[in-house]
Amino acid sequence: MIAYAPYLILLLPLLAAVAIRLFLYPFPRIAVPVSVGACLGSFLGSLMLLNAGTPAGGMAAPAVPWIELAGLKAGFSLVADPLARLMTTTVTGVALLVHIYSLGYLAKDPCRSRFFAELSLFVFSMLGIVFADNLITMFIFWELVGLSSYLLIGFWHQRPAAGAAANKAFLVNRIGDFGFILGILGAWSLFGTISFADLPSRAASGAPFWAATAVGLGLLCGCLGKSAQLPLHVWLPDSMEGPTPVSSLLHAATMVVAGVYMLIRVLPILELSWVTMNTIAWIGAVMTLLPALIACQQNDIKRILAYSTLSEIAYMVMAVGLNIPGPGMYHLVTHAFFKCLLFLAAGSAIHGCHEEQDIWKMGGLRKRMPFTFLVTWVGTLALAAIPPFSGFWSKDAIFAATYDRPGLAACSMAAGFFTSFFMLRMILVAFGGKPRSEGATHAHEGPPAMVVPMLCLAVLSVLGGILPISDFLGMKPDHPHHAWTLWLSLLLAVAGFFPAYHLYQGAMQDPLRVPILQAKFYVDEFYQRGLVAMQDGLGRLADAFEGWVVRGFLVRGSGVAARVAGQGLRLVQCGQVQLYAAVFILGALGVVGWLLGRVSS
Amino acid sequence: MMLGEITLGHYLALSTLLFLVGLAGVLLRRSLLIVMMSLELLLNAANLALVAAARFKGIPDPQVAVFFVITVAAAEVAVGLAILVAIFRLKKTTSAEDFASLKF
Amino acid sequence: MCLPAMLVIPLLAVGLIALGSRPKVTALWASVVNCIPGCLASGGVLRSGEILFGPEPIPAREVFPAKFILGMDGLSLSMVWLTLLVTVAAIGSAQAGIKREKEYFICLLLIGLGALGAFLSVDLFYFFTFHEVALVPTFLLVGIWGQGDRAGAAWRMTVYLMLGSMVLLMGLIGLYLSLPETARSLDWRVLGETVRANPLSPGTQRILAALLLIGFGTLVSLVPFHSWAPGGYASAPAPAAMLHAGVLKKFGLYGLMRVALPMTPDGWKEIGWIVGLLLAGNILYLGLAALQQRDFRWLLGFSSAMHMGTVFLGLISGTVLGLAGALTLMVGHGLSAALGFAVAGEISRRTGTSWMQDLGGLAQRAPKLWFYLMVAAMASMGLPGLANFAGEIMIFFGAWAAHPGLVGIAAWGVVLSAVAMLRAVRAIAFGAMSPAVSAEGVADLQGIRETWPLAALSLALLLVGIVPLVVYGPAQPVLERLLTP
Repeated sequence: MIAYAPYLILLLPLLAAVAIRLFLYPFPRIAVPVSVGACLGSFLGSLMLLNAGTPAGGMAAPAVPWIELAGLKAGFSLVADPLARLMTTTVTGVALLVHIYSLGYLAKDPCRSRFFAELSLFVFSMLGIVFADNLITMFIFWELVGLSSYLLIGFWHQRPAAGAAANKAFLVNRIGDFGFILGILGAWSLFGTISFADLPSRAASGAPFWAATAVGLGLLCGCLGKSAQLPLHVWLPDSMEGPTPVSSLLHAATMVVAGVYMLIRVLPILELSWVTMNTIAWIGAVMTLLPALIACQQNDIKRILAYSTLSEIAYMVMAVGLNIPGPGMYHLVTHAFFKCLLFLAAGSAIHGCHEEQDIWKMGGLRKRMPFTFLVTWVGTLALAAIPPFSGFWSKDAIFAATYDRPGLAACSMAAGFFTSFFMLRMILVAFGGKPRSEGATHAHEGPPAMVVPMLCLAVLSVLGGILPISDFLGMKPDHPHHAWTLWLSLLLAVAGFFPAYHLYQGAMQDPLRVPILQAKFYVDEFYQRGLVAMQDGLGRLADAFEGWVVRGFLVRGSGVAARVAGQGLRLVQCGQVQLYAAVFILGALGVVGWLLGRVSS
Repeated sequence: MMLGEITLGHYLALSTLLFLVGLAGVLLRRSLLIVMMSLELLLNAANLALVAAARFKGIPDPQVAVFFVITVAAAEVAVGLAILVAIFRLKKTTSAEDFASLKF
Repeated sequence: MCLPAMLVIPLLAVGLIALGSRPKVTALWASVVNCIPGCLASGGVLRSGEILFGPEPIPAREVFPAKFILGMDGLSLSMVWLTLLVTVAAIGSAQAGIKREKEYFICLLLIGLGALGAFLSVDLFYFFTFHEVALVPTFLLVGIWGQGDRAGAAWRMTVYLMLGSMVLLMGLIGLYLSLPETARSLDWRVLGETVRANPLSPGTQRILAALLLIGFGTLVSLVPFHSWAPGGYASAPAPAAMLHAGVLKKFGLYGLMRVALPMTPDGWKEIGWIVGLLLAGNILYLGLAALQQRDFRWLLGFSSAMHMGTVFLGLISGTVLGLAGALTLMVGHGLSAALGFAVAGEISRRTGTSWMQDLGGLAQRAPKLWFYLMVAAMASMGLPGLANFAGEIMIFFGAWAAHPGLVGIAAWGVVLSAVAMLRAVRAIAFGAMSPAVSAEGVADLQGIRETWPLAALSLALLLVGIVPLVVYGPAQPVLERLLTP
């Protein structure tokens, strides 16, 4: 019975999504509870699964074959090992809270049935990634998650920016998937299997170094796309066009960490090559720092949090690169709590200020929305890794592993400094001072549906540090513990608050102006002017060639040639009988002559 | 006075000459009536060759062919002249240059 | 008995329409009723592997060696069902009060008839002839009821396809003549056994394979013989485009699988690198050109031609997995192209334009139509859960061992098609409503009556995507036999 739990957890949201799409669109009062109920069911199932003790190897639910043909055995079999159970509990738990929050946030939106249907579709797809037991199944759900993200970012499709952001998200993800599928194909041909259960043993028997590196880098591409790491990170800030619940669920807590989850699953392959591991670690380290710098100059509250998300995911990626998946997952879980909380709080602030997202147009919310202010502080302290909040424990576990990698340590700890800086900046500007706009003056807290999830997440952000995640997963890191990582990182984190306080306490406009940070290091411009322009240029070339050379010259040209030849040849038809007779005689003479020639020879 | 034997070659030479004259007439004369007369000349040149062959080779087969040719020529002349008269009634001319309406 | 029934029912319908019955209703009923012998035949095939109708093959010299034999096996099963489904959907989405209605529906029925006959033929002559039967009504449909430069597009498309057919005919006749005199036949079962017993010489195989490639390739819009496709589909009325892109294009691929692969195996392997080059051209060149299209139908035409490249990759993969993927992608592409053109037809009928810059905000005005637009776009992009992905993934895995570089190019093609389709969807559906969309008469799809063809195609895409076994399962033994020399 318990063996079927994964299927139940997985399929409930799908049933909800299908039911809403087919029948319940016109009835939001039924559709919304159906969706929330499905998520609740999945969460309860996950809890049950979490508590059902089994041997450490995990268990697999019975398989449903999809493609079984010479050499390729891809089926829907779901695995419920400790990693999957932890992940599904986190995902369904956070998703449930966001569902409840959305009840309040989108209470007046006419299209909310569609929203909840798409949200249920997302939960289904995400759980598919979690439970997948082989790379192809994971890839299938990977793409479905991309679809859900596309639909949800573009939910308010009347806005042109939403369509652009949705496209960007899907396409950048697709580029990552290009590398991912090549990695999967490489893994299949190199190790003869795509099943996560078989990978450790096959990989242990070794593989040619550069082949394993190539496969690892290919798989990494998928992570870079989905988890928005360098160089495929550009879609995440734009994805903030979607409604705030979407940003909190997909683009903070769950979807974007799918890449990290995948990397942990294929760690046996990645471990085979120090090139791959170092690449992952360094991309992680750099990506902790760069977005933190960019966030210091952003003015949209959701963008600040988006860049913060990029930075935090990078910590998890770096953890994978350092071969400490346990702390990586630990940070994944705690980050889900406090980042989701921060986004929900931001949504609450936006909602309270009547859809104003610019922090310089907020202000004074401390008095008007005290609860939001409080939970934002909780989230910030957790994010900045201040003890005893949950973020401290998980980030410290990651810092501890950088003890012999000074470059990585420097990047990631410096990022901690800037994280504190921009988070305090955000709080001081958005919540402190006096209201700087109409909306801010009349700000108020949201309905209970919005308050309760934030409360739950705040509690988890405070207490989450006690969860024995690395032990539960059986992935405790085994490196020596040096105290200086803890103290240095803590020092830097706390130090980050001071400049922010000094600069932004009571500020009416931004005293700092760093153009390169405001322009996000010009990466977007590089992609637009560089790659997109090049692709469009090639497209124009192809289209011009097609239009002029192929269609024009070759096709129409041959038609014209046929016509001209015909017009030339028809001059033979002169109408003069005697000319015809003359040609006839000549021909006859020719034939006779030829025959005579043959006879005589 | 004998200038030498009249052989088949002489007859064939004459026939060829007549054929060439007829051919020239068919290809070069403007008046369709003359063209028809030249056609007759062509046919009769062929007749001459056939009769000479029959006489000098002593076989009766070319004579049979001659009968065919004469009959066909007669029929062809009748029909051809009728067409010519009809054309003349329509176009008021029998010059070959004027009948070029089946051109490109 | 059910095999000839599938051909007779459309003929009866043509006759009834000519005699004066209501064209759309008759045609629709005939196409739906035609599925019944289809079901019976499928049952027969699933039970016993293949079913036949016609005289026994006699490999003897005759004045006219062609024999009217019909047969269906696992491979043609999927093709026949594709034809039946797309025909029903095409006739279902055809407008009823159009000018010269009788001739219109007669043409549509004849295209379906030709395609069915081609897929059911066991004899090469009738195989070829039925395809030609399907070409002539296409010419009429595009030329009379099309839009844009319809006369020019009709002529160009038909003459181009006829030229391709000519080359194909040369290849087929060449194949027939290169067999020893006592064993000549046009029946491909006999041909298969003959060639297996005494294979053709490598030189002959190379030439024949090349001729068949050019001939069939033109019919499938393989680069460089592709330029008839985008213009032709853009100018065709929606049902004709659905039938042609959905069904008739598959004829060429099916022919390659039936004729070129088993009978010229070495030749096919030798020209594999040429095929690889051309299919890369299809994917990259046509994919890039598709990005620049401003008219939605042109974009669909380019995109549909681009996907043919991936199918060719399956054909040269040399594995059963690759061939199975090619078959699945053929079915998936047929369904998704038909759906795409149906949606394009609905959009242009309601708003009066297919020019993407003039459209916009359709999602607000016609959400149901937007939904089907999304299904078509997602299928074309290879979203898992829909048929195209299943085919593509099988092709990637099947061809990886032999042609990893081409698989990489095909994978990039997936990205390119996503770029093109998403841009199109954004231009058409997202954003504020443009004047064309917010105009008076623009209405959404109303009720079952207008949505059922689109829904049927979408359901089929979903079914094949989730259970690709229905396509490649019956065909597996046939495909294995095609590959073993």
